[in-house]
Amino acid sequence: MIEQLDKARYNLLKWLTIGWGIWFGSYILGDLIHYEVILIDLFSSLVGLTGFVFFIVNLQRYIRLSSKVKYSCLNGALNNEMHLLYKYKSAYIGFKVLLATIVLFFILSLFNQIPAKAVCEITIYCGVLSSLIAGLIYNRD
Amino acid sequence: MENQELINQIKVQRAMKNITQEELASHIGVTRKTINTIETGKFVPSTILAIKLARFFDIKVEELFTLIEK
Repeated sequence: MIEQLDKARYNLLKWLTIGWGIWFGSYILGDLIHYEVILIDLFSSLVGLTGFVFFIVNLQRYIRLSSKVKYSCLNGALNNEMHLLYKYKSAYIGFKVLLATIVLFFILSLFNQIPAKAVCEITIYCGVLSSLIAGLIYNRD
Repeated sequence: MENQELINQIKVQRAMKNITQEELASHIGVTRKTINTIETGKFVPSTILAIKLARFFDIKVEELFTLIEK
């Protein structure tokens, strides 16, 4: 039971990462690049939508599983010290990437004008994605 | 700390007791992944977990975990 839940949690995290990466990535690209060809625009929207569906479905499943684990006797085993340590480490990596992205944009802004929306989107994207990827790497078998 | 290494006897003790990582994990109350990372030295357990492991194998913590100079 513990192993099954642990595996399910890892798989959900994996699909959550993929979903977020595709959805938010295509959203940023759509904002930055204005497609002239309608077919490319349609294709990128479709890819973005697929990512969004992946992200939302898996986020919902992840939250449901987390709440189930939280109130069960398996909580201690599944959220043991190693899991918590890896969670903090992933968040720390996400924070460091977030800071690095901000610094990079700050330096770039000295030479070029950058739209504030793009800076916010890319910073959030890099921070969240790096944190999720770090979580996947730490928790891999 | 950098020229010291923590080695453990979990794999040996497990073999002596003839139990799998999964069985040990369920006895201790952690996941198999946790036992695996401790065994391979990727993760250093807390004192509580180390004591639990030592108690399970019925040996001293120092016998299960040894700090050696590199």
